[in-house]
Amino acid sequence: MKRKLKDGWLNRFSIRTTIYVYFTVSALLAIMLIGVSLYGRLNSQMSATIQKENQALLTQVNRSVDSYLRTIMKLSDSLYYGVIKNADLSAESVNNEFTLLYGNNKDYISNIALLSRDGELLEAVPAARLKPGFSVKEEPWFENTLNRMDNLHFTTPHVQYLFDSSEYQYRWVISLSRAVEITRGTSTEQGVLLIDITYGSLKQLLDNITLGDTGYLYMTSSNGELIYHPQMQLVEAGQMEENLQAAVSYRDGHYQEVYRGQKRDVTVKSVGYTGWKLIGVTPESNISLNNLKTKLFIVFLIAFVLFILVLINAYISNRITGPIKKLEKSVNALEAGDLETEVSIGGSYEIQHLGRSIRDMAKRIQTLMQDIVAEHESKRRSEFDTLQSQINPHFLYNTLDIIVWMIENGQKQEAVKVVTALARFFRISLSKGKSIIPVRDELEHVRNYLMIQQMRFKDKFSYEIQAEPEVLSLSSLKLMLQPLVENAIYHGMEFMDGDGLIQVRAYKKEDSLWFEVRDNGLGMTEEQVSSLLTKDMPVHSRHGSGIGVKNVNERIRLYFGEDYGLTIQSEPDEGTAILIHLPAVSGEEKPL
Amino acid sequence: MKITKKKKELYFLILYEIILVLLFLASSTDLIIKERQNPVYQVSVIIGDSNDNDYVNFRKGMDQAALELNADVSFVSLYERNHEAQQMEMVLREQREGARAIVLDPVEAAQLDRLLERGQLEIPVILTGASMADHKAWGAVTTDYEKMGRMLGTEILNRHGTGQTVWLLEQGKGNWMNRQFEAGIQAVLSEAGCQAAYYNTGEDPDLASFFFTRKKQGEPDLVIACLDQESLLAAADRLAGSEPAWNHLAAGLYGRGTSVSLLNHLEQGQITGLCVTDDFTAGYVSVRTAVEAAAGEKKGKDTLLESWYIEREDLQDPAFEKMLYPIE
Repeated sequence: MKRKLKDGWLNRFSIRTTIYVYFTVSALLAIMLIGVSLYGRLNSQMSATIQKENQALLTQVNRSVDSYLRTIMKLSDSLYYGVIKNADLSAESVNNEFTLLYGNNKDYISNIALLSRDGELLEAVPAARLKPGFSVKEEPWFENTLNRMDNLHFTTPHVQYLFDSSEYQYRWVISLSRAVEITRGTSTEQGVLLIDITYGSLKQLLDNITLGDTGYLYMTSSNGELIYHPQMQLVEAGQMEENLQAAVSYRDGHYQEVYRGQKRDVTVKSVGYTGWKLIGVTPESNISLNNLKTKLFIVFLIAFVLFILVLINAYISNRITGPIKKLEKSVNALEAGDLETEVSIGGSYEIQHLGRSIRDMAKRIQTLMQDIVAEHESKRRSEFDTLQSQINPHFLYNTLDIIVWMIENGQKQEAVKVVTALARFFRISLSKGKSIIPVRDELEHVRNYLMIQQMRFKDKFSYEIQAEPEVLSLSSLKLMLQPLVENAIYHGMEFMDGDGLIQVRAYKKEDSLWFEVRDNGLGMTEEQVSSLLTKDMPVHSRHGSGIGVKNVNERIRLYFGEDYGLTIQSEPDEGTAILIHLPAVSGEEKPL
Repeated sequence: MKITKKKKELYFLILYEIILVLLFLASSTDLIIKERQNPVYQVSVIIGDSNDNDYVNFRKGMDQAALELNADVSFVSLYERNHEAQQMEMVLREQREGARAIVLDPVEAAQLDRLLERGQLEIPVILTGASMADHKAWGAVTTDYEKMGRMLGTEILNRHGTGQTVWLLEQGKGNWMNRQFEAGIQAVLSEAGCQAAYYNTGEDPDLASFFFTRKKQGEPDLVIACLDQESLLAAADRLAGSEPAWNHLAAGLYGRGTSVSLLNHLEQGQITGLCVTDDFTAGYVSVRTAVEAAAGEKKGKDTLLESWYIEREDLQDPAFEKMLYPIE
């Protein structure tokens, strides 16, 4: 059923449209397939490249931060192992060494302080004192440092509120603290070494690093507290949001996330000792292939290639279907009966072959038709010839009967006349089998016939035969006049009482030869006239020659063409005139 | 009229070619889809003060917005504090010099209305410290100072009860913010049946006379609510001054503001409680609103920012720490 529907649907279109549609749809699908796969490949390749670049950048930044933190850790080591551990704080001050090391690192160190286990400030560079009433011991970082003495402890950024300061300023720092062993005389005790890293120096390492056009980088502590963000203050103020919750769960690597309706690539890298995480964020819209103009350009490319393909397809389908269309036109002409039409032969081999076959077929049809026509005509002629060669036996019997009667009555002279006429009648009837005979013979033939009939009908009628001399040698159809004269006798003369007249005339008018058979008999109605020309039966089969008027007409047309034939003019009680129209051709010229 | 198949094909081809040309123009030129322009919007921020001590955090927010939104922000202070005419001159000058929008902390917002009425000011103005409801500005970024006053009044009553007179201090003639703040405090105090007294420090900028008179009259436990930052700083400075006896004159000193000096006084104990706002956000939102106005967006509205009451121990709260000491 489906197949039928499909076939039906296809059948509604021309071969050109079908080829065109198939080619175009196939091309479109191919282009789309190639376009989509190319786009996908380029996109993924670009994403991969951006990922690699982000990863490389992040690695680079990570190294810088790591190196920065290691420098501070080394400073911490130097302070501890190089200064504090070797000093007896009850006897000497470490201020000089602290100042020296602070001086070497003051670009990124805010202050260095040594605190006792009880929270007493033992040394501070630059010189400072603890805020009155402020208990360091209760600070979480202090407690943590003493509880986990092996570790170095980094805080998240905070305002340093430990020291008393008359300045109307505040300082954002990241504190590094470690537990140290302090020697005081013979006793040793735990203390805490505090190094405040200027937040600005860390910020400098991370500021102005962008990933693409709109990508950025931020840093969190291992538990998700923000350490650096290009819009840190806005995030803290709630003016913008960052996906910190997800960031905590990420391990080092590459991730894709959707945050607040925006797809983004996230690359995570941990910063060595601290466990801080550097997070690179690249919005997917940052990838240039996702740009609206790039997408439009790809659509344009596909549409342009499709346009070119449509033109090529149109050309190809025209090349294929053009010759088929011409051939179709030729076939249509042949179908309409124009076998002479030129059959178009062009295009590809198959179509040329088809064209030749159709041309040959047309020729064969033409030949066959000509053969059939010729055969048909030949058959008709032979039929007529057969017909005309037959003389109604009644006519012969009646004539012989008259001859016998004449001889019995001693009318030998008349009997000789009739016999002579009959002999001549038959001689011309045969005419060596010819159908076309001179007018002279045809007139002679009808004269013999009329003479015999006049004898037979005991002079009920008289007859006249007139012919212009120049027509006697023209060609005439054999036994053409005799059926007409026979018709005149049996229709018009049989009941006449000696005053019947049959006139036969032959004359030439322009290029035509005319015969006229006129009688003054009973005449005929219109119906009789029309039946005379349509019915096959002779007018008076019992007495006549057996050749009907209609046959005479058909024979004339068969031999001389459709332009020639009989015309009957008759009025009841007025008589009948039959005109025969023939071409005026001489005896040597052949008829059709 | 019947369209022949050939004509249909021709029309289709023409249409297709037009689409191709449009696609080309859209994808490869700036004729149809323009690349996102990043215009620089010149924005002027004009304050009513002669220095920016009270605008440090505001400026940080302003700078952040300028960086993100590609704005060229000029910060303009007056030669003389609270000089209305001078401020309006500055406004007109900034307009002449190509400012596309102005953020204005008005000395007297009615002056601005007059400028706008006379058609002298054609650029959008965003008010800070004044409400758009009362004036003809394009937008406003402010705080509900009456609510802030109610909050402070409630805290004062909680700490000191209703038995003491609350002194309301103000320097100079004050402004809309002071009036709103005062109205809030007064409303709470009068509801509680607590007395309030007003004192203008105009003739007594360092408050020496005020404290001397109160001491003389034997009022050792003063409860003071300052309506502006200047009088609060003056009172705090006076209490932190060299005369130890004065340290205990005030049972409570309250006010509003976020300058580092005020925060130091809060930390040191001269100030008992402070009403604070997120000035960084105020600066950021003001410039962002000004850029929106300069870009031709439809008229803005009052943006009300939150306010909080804090005391000394709140200073180390990470949330307040980051709000009051913006990260540098």
